[in-house]
Amino acid sequence: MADFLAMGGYAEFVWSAFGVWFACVIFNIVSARRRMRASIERATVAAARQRHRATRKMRQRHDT
Amino acid sequence: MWTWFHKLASPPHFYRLAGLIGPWLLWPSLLLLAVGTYGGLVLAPADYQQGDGFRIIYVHVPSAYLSTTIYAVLAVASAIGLIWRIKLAHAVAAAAAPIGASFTAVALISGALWGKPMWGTYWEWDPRLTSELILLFIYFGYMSLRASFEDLNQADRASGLLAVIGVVNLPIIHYSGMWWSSLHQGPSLKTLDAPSISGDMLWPLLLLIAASTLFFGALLLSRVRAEVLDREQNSRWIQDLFGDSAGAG
Amino acid sequence: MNPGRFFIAIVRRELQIAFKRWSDLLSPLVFFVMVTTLFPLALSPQHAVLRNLGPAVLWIAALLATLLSLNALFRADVEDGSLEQLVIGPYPLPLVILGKTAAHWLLNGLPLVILAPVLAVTYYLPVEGVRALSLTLLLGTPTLSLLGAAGAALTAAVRQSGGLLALLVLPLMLPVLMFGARATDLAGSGEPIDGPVYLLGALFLLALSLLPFASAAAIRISLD
Repeated sequence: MADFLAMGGYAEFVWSAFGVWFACVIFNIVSARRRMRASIERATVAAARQRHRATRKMRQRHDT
Repeated sequence: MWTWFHKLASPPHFYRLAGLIGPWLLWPSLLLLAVGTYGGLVLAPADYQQGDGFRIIYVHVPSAYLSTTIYAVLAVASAIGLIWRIKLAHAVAAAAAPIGASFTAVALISGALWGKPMWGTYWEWDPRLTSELILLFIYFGYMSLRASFEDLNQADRASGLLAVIGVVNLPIIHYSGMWWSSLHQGPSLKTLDAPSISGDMLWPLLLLIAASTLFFGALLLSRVRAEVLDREQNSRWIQDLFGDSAGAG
Repeated sequence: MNPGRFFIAIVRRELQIAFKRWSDLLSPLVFFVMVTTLFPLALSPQHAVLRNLGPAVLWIAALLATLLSLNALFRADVEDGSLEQLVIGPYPLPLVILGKTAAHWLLNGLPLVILAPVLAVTYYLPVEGVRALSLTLLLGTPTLSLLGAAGAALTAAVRQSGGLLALLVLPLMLPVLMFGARATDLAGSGEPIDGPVYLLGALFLLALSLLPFASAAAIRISLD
């Protein structure tokens, strides 16, 4: 195990390269998730606003 | 064929289909990434010249491959979007850029980490490292140009044009770099390709390349879905989809 | 008006406007001279050092001076609406762009070509090096103007576009810089420079044949 971790003397280079790679993989998953959530939130707000406008228009028509 | 294509390019259909396919790309790609990493770190034998240091190939080559492949996807999608005015194609280009930039950065960092033990220096003005760096700048330029427009339609077309100009520019930079460095008789460098790569070293590499392609596909689908939502906010199907969850008030 | 006349009319109009605001015209040139005089003061005035760095410093300063002059290329025309007039006018937009680019080169590129040999002498470049510098700048600065026009067209609608323009355009200008500085360097040590000079010529022809169309497309997008 210690042999494996030592990577034949190249430990710092091999492990930091793999570390950066996996950090990038995780970062991409997290940021794609976050992007999706933000867009869903915006769409929900837009849909609510749209419906609000529609009901108000209907009410105005009803009043007149 | 064409009706199928049009159906695919229609936003609501794409949104639904991408949502179904996405997980089926993501989980297998993560599994394959894990297997390939295990193969590269444990099962593959050490190189007879570079020892265990050569194992950096298993992150450097897939990320360098992704950096150029993603730029190709970005540029082709931009061209399609400009020529046929397909919004979905512009959404694909916009979604691909940050993924490509991140893997370009990883390719540069892993290249430097490989260069230090093998060349004795983190950075060498090697033509391939230089073009990779310029590619990163082009990604940054693309994303900043896109971000500097408020109108989404304008941002799509301006950045798409830049992506197409970049495609012409990249090979010129690459070959200029080759010519330029052939004039500087610097220290003779071993290239960073593992020499005479054998079968048991090769399969983890191929597996990781395939896995990273799938992984990119999964990320792209997810990000394009988000782009589609932003572009279609005021359309009927979005209201049907998200109207209920907002509650009655 | 035939297209040739129209082209000349565009160039003349640009020159007339520019000469009215001559201080804007001078600042990139002053910048060029100042940057090149900063290096000997910051480094050391040793002849050997300056002779080695000269080609690169002069070329980089020329590149940055070109960049500095690009911001204003389409700004005024976008703001006062005269560009819109030209877009809907009877002449092809790439020709308009080409006219503006030619004027830009006459006002910014050509003075650099003329000034550079004088500055090269202060860097102790040998005669062959000075000659190569003039030749490569003469071939390279039109390409820089064409590339810069494309960048300026892409960012014409963007406010505060200075840093963005540099980010977009510098990677595109890189091959010109590499060939130009390298040829000057080679000539200084008495080597043939046919290769890089031909490559600079090829880059110019490529830029001349493609970029006016790209810039025209970019202007149309910016005006939407």
